[in-house]
Amino acid sequence: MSWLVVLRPVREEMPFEPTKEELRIVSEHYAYLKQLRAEGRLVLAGPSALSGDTFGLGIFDQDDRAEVEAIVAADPAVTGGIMTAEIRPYRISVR
Amino acid sequence: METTDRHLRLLTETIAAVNSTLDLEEVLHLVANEVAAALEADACFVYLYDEAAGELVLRATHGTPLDEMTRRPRLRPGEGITGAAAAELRPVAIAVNADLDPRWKEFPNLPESEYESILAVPILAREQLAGALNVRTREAREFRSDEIELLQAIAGQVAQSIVHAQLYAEAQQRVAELEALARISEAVSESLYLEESLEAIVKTTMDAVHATGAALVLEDGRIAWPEGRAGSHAVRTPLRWKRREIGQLVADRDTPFTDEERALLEAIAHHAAVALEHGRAVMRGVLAQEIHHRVKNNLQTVASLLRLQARAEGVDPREALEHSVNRILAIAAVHESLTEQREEDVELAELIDRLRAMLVQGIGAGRDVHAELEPVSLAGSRATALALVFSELLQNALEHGEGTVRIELARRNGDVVLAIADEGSGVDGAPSGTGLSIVRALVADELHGSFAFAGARAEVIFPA
Repeated sequence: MSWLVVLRPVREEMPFEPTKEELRIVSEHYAYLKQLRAEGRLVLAGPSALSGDTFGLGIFDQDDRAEVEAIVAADPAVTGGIMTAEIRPYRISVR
Repeated sequence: METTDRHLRLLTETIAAVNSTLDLEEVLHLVANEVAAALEADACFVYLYDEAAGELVLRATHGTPLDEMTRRPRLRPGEGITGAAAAELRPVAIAVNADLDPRWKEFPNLPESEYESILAVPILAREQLAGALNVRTREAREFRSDEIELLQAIAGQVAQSIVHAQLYAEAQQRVAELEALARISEAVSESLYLEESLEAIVKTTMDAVHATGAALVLEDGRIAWPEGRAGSHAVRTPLRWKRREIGQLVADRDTPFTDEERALLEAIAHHAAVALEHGRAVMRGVLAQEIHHRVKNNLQTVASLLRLQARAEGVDPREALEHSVNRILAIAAVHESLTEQREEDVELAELIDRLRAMLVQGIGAGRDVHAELEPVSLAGSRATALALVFSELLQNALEHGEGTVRIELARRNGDVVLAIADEGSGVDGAPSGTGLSIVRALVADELHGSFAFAGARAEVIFPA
C-alpha cells in the first residue's frame, strides 16, 4: 500500500531565508529523496511553497507503516531537526 | 515568342515551388528538382557559399543522390567549372567533354564525368556571392542564350529565397535560445533545492547546444550534475558573481561551437551564477515564478507569430522577420532586467532606454530620438507586455514616421502615460498591421489600459 508523508519546516521562514546549516541539511535531504526514488520506494515528492505556509509531500510505496517510519526517521531533515513529519495511510486511486 | 512564354511560365512555377517553404534544406532540394525539370537537364547541383570558410558547399542535388557522398564536396571560388562561374560572377557553359576542360575538378565520391555538358551560374544576393548552381546533360548540348538567361533569372529568385530561409532559421534559433533561458529561469525560481536548479541548468544546456555532455564545476572543485560524455570540443564558461568566478559551466560536443552558441552559454552561465548565489535563498516567491512563466508564454506567442508571418501573403518576409526578431529582443531585455535584480519590480525608464538604444541602432540609424523618462516601476509580470508595446510603437515611428521621434514616460493622476510621437503627418485613418494589433491586444488584456493614435502621436495610458 501507499503512505503520504507531510513534512513541515520547524522554522516557518526556513525555505525563504535559510541559514548555512539549514541549506546544508536541505541538500542532504534532497539527495536522500533522490536515493529513495532510485530504489523505487518513493513514488514522488515535492514542496508547496507559500510564505508562512510551506510544506512538502512525499508518497511512498511500502507494505508496512514501520518501514515508512524508519525511512522518515533516517531523513536528514528530520534527524537535523529542521522539519517535522506526519505519516498518513494513502491510496493512489488513479495512476 | 513561344520559348519566351514557356520560359516565363517555368520561371513562375519555379518561384512558386521555391517560395512554398522556408526550410532551407527543402528550398534547396526543390530548386534542384525544379531547375532540372525546367531546363530538361539530367542533373542539377546547388551550392551555397560559406562565407566564413570561403568555400562553395554542395547542398542539394538532382540526378546524383547526395546521401551516397561521405563528405559534402566543397569548392573554392575559381575551382572547377562551377567555381569559375562563382569567381567570375558570370555564367560558364560547356557543350561537350566538360571533364576535359582545364578548369574541371574531380571529386572521388561524385561521379560527374558521365555528363557531357554543363551550364553553371552564380547565385547573387544583393550583389554578393550567395552560391552557385549548375545543370548537366549526358548528351552533348549547346545551351542557348535564352536558356542561360532563364537559369540566371531562376538563380536571382533562388537568392531571395535563400536569404529569407536563412533569416527565418536565424530568428527561430533566437526563439529556441530564449526559450531555453526562460526554462532555466523558471526552474531556478521554482526549485526548492539548489541541486534541482543545477540539474535543470545542465540538462537545458545539453538540449540548447546539442551537447554530448555538460557539467557545472563549483568553486570548491566539486563537479555538479555531470551528464553525458566528453566530446572533441569543449567550452568552459566562467560563472561570475560580482566579478568573482564562482564556478564554470562546461559543455562538450564533437563539432565546434559557434559564436552565437558561446554567447548563449554565457547567458546560461549568468543564470547559473544567479541560481548559485541569491538562489541560495531557495524560493523566490510565487510572483517570481509567475513572471518567468509569463516570459515563457510571451516567447511562445512570438514564436507562433513568427511562423504565421513567415508564410503570410503580401508581406515582405524580410521585414516581417526583422520585426519578429525585434519582438524577441524586447522580451529578452525584460528577461535580462528580471534576472539581474532581486526585486520583482522592473524600472521602466531603464528598460525603455535599453530598448530604445537597441532599436535605434538596428533600424533607426541617423534618426534623432529624444527621450524624457520619469522613474516608474512596474511589476515584472506587466513589464514584458509594456516592452513589446513600446518596441512596436517605436519601430513604427522609426519606419513610417518623419523627423525627430520623442518618447515620454510620465505619471499622471495615478496612471502611467507612455507616448511616442514623430513630426510626420501621421497615419491615414485607423492604423492597421500585425504590430498594431499586438499593441491593442496587450494594452487591453495585460496592461488594462487604453491606446490612442492622434496624428503622429501614439499614447498608451494604464493604471500604475
